[in-house]
Amino acid sequence: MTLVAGPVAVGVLLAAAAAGLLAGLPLVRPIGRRLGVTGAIVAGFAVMATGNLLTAAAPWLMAAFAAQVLRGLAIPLADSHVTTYLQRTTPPEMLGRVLANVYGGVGVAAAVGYLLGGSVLDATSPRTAFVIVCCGGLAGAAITAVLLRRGRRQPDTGPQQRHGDGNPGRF
Amino acid sequence: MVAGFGLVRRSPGLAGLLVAQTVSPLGDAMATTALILHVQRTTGSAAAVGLLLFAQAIPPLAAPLAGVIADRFSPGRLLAVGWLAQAVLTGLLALLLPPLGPLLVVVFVLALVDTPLSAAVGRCIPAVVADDDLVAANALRSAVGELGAVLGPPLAGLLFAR
Repeated sequence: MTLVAGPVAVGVLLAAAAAGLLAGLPLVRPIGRRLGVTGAIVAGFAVMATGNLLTAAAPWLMAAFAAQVLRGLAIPLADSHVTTYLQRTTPPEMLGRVLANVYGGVGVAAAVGYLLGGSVLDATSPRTAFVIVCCGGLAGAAITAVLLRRGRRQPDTGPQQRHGDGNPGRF
Repeated sequence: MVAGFGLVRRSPGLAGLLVAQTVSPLGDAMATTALILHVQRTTGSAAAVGLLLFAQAIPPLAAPLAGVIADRFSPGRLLAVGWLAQAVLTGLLALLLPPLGPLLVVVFVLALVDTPLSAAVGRCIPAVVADDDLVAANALRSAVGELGAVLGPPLAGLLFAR
């Protein structure tokens, strides 16, 4: 272990992101209002990547814990705004396909990430692995920002029809 | 959290969805943990545990097909049938505890059935909340799902140890 910690500390570190996630929930709406949906997505991705970078640089366990809390804070911000963006911009008759492919893509990426992460970890060190993950995350945030901006520049095809009117209904 | 209660009061259709979104990931996480412990105990093989996780990880590759299913059927009906099928399969798994081969097949089918369900939930949310509440509703859905996923493994570990 880079931080010379035992298995309990590993568990605490894993729980830190979950604690940050719950703490970040009340922040989602105010930050989203200030940044807009696309701004919140990019900010969420960038903060998650920064959390990983700070974890790599952490000299003590508590610093790594704080960095993982920061990462956790950004998870609901990015997650909820990605889904909202898709729900608002996708025609209702295609929403299932779009959401399934996005969620499926995340699942496949996670599976590939576990395989690659193990290899990178074996070949280098935990700190190097975190730095690589951070660079990938920041690159992902930058690519997302460019693609979202390009999407907004495209000619407006008119408002998408929502599934419902917001009233409690059947689905 | 208070805002969450207000949102659920304004959109009663969201309450049932959130309950399901808490219970389902909790059950998934508990089942996965219990299965890992069971396979590890009965086979003593890390490779077998790896195969179990692999069987769970393949179904997202069927996302394009899952999306077509999610679009073709009413999301409410799809969720009811899908979750019922998962409950029956998990119940059979718990009762029969089959050997590794059939167990992997059932685990694969469970994950396959789950693939269109997340998309169906995503389709349901705009139907039950106002557009202004969409971000908050998606955040709440994400949080309760994560809560289930975080609480599931320790709960399953406690039950397994008894």
